Amino acid sequence: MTSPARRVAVTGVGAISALGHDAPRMWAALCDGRSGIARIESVDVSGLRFQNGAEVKGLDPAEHFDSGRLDLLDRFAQFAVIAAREAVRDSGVELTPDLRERTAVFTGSSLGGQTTQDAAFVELYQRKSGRVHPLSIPRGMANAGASQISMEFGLTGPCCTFSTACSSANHAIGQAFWMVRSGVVDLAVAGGSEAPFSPGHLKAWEAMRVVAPDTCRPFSRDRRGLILGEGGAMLVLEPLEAASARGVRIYAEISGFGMSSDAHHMTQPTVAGPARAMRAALDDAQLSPEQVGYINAHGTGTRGNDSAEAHAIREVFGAHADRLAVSSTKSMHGHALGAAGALEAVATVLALENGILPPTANFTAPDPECDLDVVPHRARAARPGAALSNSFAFGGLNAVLAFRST
Amino acid sequence: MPDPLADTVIAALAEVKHVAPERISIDSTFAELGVDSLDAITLLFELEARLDIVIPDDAAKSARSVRDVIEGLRALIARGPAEPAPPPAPASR
Repeated sequence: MTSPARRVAVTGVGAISALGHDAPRMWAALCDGRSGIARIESVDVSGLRFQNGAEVKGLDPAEHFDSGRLDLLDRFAQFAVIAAREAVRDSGVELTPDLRERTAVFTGSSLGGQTTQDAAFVELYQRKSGRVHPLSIPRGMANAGASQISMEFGLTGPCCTFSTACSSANHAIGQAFWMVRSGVVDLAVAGGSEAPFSPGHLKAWEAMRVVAPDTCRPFSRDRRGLILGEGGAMLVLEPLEAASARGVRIYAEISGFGMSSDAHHMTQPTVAGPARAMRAALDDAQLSPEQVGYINAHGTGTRGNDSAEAHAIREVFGAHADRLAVSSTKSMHGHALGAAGALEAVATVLALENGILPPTANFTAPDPECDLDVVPHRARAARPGAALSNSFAFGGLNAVLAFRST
Repeated sequence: MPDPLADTVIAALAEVKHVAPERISIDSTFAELGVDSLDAITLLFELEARLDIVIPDDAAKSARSVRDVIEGLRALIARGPAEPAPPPAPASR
């Protein structure tokens, strides 16, 4: 593209999670340090070695979609559309025919329609019915969320889905940001959604032995693993100039994106890979490490991630790491896999907008391997100026977003 | 003295690592055998099937050698078929 690089604003946010069905409810819970982790209700977990998760409670899909539409909406795609509706409404943007052609929809999803696929296999292998529902494919495909958002608003520009496990949403938001910045599009709806609570999928996590039997305690000495979460979150991105001209609220500027691959191991993280992604995001944002005051960590609560991430932060920020606030909101909304980065991006821009840093909940005792200020238990009033939001995926794929206050 | 449990562990590990069982002894460490975290969870999955037991997560975390696995299994089997009580939630400090 020949267009000069533009500054990009976040003008709308939407989120549905275990902390509530919209972004204000999630934000209120995050500020209270209130965790949405509880015993899993949607799946019989009596035979599992873990029982707790961060489920979206009390969602009546019929309140959001008519029955014909629901036939084609797996739970993960419902989350995508519900969050996108909130974000677009929140931005107040008028979707003219011209703008619709120049709007991108980029979503992240690790699993796609996991519950639809699980139900189809129960039909086939357990009930031996010899048939599978004819809408299983269009419901289950990972891009169903993006396509449903595109159809919902008549958005006819670039539309695609990133499936990079726990980094999916950050890859989606980062690429959407670059497209708005470079002038390929004039608006983007970007984020991620995930619905991982199906019996077969939970069994697979049980076998991996990384899910905590109690709760998610990021950076704590006695952390015992991650807690799965579900939900969806979307951001509306547009040129800062257009947002200023519209006179709308700008939550934050999205100013950088960095990616890297560990090229090392499918599940064991490195320090170098995440560090390179953070550096790349800072470079892309033209930020010095000292300008960053807050990091929304990947912070899964596994032994391996949290110590590797803490070391990576030390490597990138040096002495400034002692002045950085680092929290993991996964302690409250759980690890929503392909939606995680989107929920955390919403948390990060709301932190910048409101001058409040969400805490790391469920914290017990410091781990010398995670020697950082992790904002334990209670939210903190602070104006961090600039912030990073980290996502690091199985497969060694790292994606980091940089934001700054406007 | 024959040790069927040791033989089972070594056979399972040989299958997971795609090596001949003769190359594994009770004294082999995971480091020597190149057993990483994914190999370890696959070994536990194999052993649960071969021994018809459930191995709790916490019982599995500390094993670093073939001997650790065998001793851990012996302790687990001695406790009987019932699922061991879950460890108490970490005390707040």
